[in-house]
Amino acid sequence: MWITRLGIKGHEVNNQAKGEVLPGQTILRREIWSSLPDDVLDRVIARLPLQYLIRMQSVCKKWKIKLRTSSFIRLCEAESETAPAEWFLTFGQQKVGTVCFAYDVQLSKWYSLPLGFLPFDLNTKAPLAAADGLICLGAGWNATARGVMPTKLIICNPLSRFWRDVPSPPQLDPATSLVSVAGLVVDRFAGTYKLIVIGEVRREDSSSSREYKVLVAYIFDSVSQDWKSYEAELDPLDSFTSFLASHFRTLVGHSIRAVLCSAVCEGVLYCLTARPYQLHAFNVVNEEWNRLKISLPAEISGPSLVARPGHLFLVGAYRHNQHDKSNNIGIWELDEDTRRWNVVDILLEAMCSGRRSPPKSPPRSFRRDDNDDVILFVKWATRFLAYNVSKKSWVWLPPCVPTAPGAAPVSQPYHNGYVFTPSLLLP
Amino acid sequence: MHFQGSPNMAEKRVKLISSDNDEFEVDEAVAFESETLRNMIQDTGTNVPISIPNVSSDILAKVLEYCSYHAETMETHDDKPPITDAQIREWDADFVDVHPATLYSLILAANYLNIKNLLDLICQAVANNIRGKTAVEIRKILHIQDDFTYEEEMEIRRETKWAFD
Repeated sequence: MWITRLGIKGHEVNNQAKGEVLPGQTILRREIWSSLPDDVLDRVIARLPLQYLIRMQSVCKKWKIKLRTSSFIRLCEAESETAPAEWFLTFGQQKVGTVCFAYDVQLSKWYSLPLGFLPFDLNTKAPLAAADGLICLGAGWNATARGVMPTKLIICNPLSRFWRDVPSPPQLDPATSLVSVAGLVVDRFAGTYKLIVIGEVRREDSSSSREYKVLVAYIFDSVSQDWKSYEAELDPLDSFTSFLASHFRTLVGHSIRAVLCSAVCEGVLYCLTARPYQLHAFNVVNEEWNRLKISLPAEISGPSLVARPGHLFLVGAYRHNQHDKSNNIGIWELDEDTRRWNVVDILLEAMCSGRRSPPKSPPRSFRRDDNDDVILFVKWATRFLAYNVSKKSWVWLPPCVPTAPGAAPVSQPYHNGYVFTPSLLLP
Repeated sequence: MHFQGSPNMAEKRVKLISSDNDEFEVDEAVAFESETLRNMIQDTGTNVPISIPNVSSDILAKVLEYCSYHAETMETHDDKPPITDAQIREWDADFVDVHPATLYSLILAANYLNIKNLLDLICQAVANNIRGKTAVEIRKILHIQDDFTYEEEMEIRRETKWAFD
């Protein structure tokens, strides 16, 4: 491979172009950049890490607006060089109202993102799901025959501070007994998302007048702006009586990435129903229900599901028998071949000694860092533990205190925790 | 009769003329790194020299150095070990370690010639230089007029406080 320079002038090829950088003469001093064509400048700015991109909002009105236009946001997603950081999200109450606390594992620091831009009163039940920059919150909670339910669903981006109402949830069957917002699946590159709500409906067989139950996934699609529902009949032989919302935890396997949607766990919603425990999977891409006939480990109490591509975990209290009241935390992983849950690790309560309160609602989420380590977050009293599955190590997260000196302390953080990849995506 | 895809295809050479009338001759594979040149060659063939009126000879030489190296990385030789990604990254990093004025001309050339990888490389280099700069510094670099009132700017800073911590 070679280049011939047939040059008429015949001067040196490279050295001149390389030039010399004089001391103190950095890009900063050069004002040539102002004449870059707009589309090229956009490509440059789109490559800034998210934190610096957000700072561009304070440069001028044009950039403030640009950061909220979908074409520029798509460019950011396409141009982004490095995998974006993943945060662990939780929520708490401060003087300014509900605050979203985001823990950046790589930098070991918490950010606080006040949700005061939402014109709603948010309570401890408000956070319902989160994924790829978007959070689903419930507002206007009402006690109904079906349980305490939000009358309004909101999707917001806590970074760009944009929010929108989701159109009224589907015409729920009056026989629907329990409803829960189960997850948010985001396609970052297309800038679209699906919100999944799960409910249980009682039906009667007209010929035998026997009652049976179906599990229903209601899906809101941001493209069609409409809800659709998908039913799965529950096995009538099971003494399935209720759908225990408190035991119902799901995490949708990441976003559906345009090229990777065939990956085993991606775009699949797992849900656990109770009495007896049953594991169901809803494939958001194929819009299909599947019942996974896998029994839960006998030692688990208060199970929660945590999914990541290629892995499915159970987190809960580990108890030797029904009289055992200890608060050891157990982590199990599903072995797909043997269809059994294998113990990954157990954190003995004694190892957390010195902390008065027992762990509460253990579940949580995963995160994949650069080394492809899987990290699960577990709540113990008001603090969080991070468990690195690959390294088998437990670490206490620092408390999510506000960063500004003198700011009001956080009252009890909410139970909910999510893993979330920050983005500028519009709700 | 013009034979497309003849066995000599690999040895086809393309003549390019810079804005200051310097003439370059490169392998067709090198020119094909540029989407713009690829389209032109497919339209007019390799017999006619292609003039590139908005790229000077110094910059065109740099661009062709890049294209030539990257075209080479795609080739496999039995006698040489393949070039590793780490080697390519190191070469690329050296390539963009140039005077800002050169970088500026290169970004325009890469944009005009539509060389996606080169454009990405330079955009990232410029972004790396801008990151961490304050709003005041960025306004200076990009010649942007500050059109916020003091109150508006404080409001934005308050809303996006996390990004400044």
